[in-house]
Amino acid sequence: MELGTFGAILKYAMEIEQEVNKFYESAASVAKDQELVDKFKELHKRGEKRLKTLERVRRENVTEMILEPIVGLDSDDYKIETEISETGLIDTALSIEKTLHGFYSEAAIKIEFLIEAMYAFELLAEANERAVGILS
Amino acid sequence: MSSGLEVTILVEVVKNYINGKWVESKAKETRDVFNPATGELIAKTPMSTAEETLEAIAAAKVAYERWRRTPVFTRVRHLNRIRDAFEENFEELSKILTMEQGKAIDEARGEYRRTIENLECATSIPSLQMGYNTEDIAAGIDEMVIKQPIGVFFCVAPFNFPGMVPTWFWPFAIGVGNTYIVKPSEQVPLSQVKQFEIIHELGLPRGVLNMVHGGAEAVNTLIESPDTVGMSFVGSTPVGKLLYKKAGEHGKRAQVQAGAKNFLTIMPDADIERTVPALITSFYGCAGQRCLAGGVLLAVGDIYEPLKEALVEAAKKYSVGNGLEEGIQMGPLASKRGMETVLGYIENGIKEGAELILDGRGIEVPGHPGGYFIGPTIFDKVTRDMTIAKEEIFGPVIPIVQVKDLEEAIDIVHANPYGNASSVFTSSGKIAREYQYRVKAGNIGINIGVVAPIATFPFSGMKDSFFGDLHGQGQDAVDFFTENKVVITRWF
Repeated sequence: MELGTFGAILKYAMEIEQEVNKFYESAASVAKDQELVDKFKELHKRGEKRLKTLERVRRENVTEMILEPIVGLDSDDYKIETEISETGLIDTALSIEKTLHGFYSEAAIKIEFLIEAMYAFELLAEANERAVGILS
Repeated sequence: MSSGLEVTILVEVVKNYINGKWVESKAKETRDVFNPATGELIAKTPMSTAEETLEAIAAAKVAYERWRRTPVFTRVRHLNRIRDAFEENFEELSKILTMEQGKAIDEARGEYRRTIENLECATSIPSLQMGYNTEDIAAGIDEMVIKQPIGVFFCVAPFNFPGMVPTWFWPFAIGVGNTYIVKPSEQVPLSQVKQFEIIHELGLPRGVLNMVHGGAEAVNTLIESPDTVGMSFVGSTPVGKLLYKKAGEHGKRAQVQAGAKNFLTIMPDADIERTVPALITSFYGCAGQRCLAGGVLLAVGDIYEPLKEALVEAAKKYSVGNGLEEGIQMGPLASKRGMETVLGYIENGIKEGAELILDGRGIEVPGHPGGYFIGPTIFDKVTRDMTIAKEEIFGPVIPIVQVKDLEEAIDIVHANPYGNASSVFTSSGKIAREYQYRVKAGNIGINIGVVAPIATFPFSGMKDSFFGDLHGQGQDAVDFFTENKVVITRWF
């Protein structure tokens, strides 16, 4: 689905963050290795903050004067897989973080006219990049 | 999972808010309130009587004597609390706004952002209300100006920005020590009802802020009462002129923001890629129902053909639907009557010889057969004498007029009686400066499609778009709501 408005982008971001949150919560309970459990717990904890950031961005950074149409961003390009399987947890998590990194990096460019929102997206993308490092 | 589209509306006939209490109106006459996306009846607005309007005025008058003595920081702390509460209820407020007015949810959020910014600006009143003084205007004699509150003010609000417009006024009015009565648009009362429900919980002293629903009887009573001191109005020019005259006859201050026909001039050196989205937002944002919406596109010289092509392409992609659905770019018209008026203008454009190159009539929005939708519409080959080039359409219609140069564009702008806003799109600083310098409009945009002043600036307007001296928002609002009292002192 084309994400043609600021609200549509934020709604999609919140939906995938919620999905990711659920994934990390389940992954932490399923993983056998304690180090991995701790990592997943940490990433789950991070998720709540990310959702709050997105809610704040949606509330505070919408600028009525320049609500211009956004083109070239499609949610189909950023689908994530959150199925839990004991053996593939790390791979799934890595794929999620890489997808989210791509989504926020691209979305940040699309909303560059809302500079605060763009900055928030860049920070979210950076956090995804760090998560890739932690998981690798 | 919730679709996010559900908003529970508890009201049937909405109540007045007088002296800190919710009061059922005694009015026999009501007006139906519809969800413009579905055509469903969602509430009824009472046409309050003169008697109950006088009750609100009396409450505000009594409250004024105590409120004006309330320390200024205490007054603005109330505004801060309201601001915080609006922030906490941001999503619900935005959804109610969309449900009763129709605009896309992003636009409703944008409106509430600006609502909150007005409150934030008004919390600077301890600074904005400061007077000034000069020592020794004669030997040992000093002179000062004190900016004092005056009494009971009121506003008559429009249907297109039911959440924000009252906050151009009342936060400043009560912040400086006046008391206030809001008369919401009878077409869209629910945003104000929700705001007052929130405010009710916050302990603002009784009678400081009141709300009376209704129509002509309520408005006439507010103007004619000897106990009110001033009016702010936002609406059409014919009604605005009438009320401005009436306010003058009764010795009231008045600021009247009226109709508009905003000309957007696109110079040959404009950046088409950046200009087209700005034009689309200007003409189609809020389904064209902004007093700052683009009214006519003046394409200068060679840019005419490529601009037209790019505009049609972008307009075709603009999504129309229920504003509560995320991703929808344009909602319905706010009322059936409004939709019929716009359809009438489209018919008129065809009849007068303009070429309809994108027809938004009869657009089908799945699941919303009763909605008041008109899709993006573009007229080409419009001439300056056509009705659609002169009158405010208040709908998603772009009339394109081809002009030869800047002189002709400015001549067309100046021939129109309105002067709310006008923009030029250009890469030339010289042309931009020329436009800003010469064009008689209150709000000028340089590469801006929606010239909406932020809360610290006045919402300006000229010619038939504004009657009065001081505008809403910012320092202008503070000056409107205060009297400059001069004090000259000598101590023996």
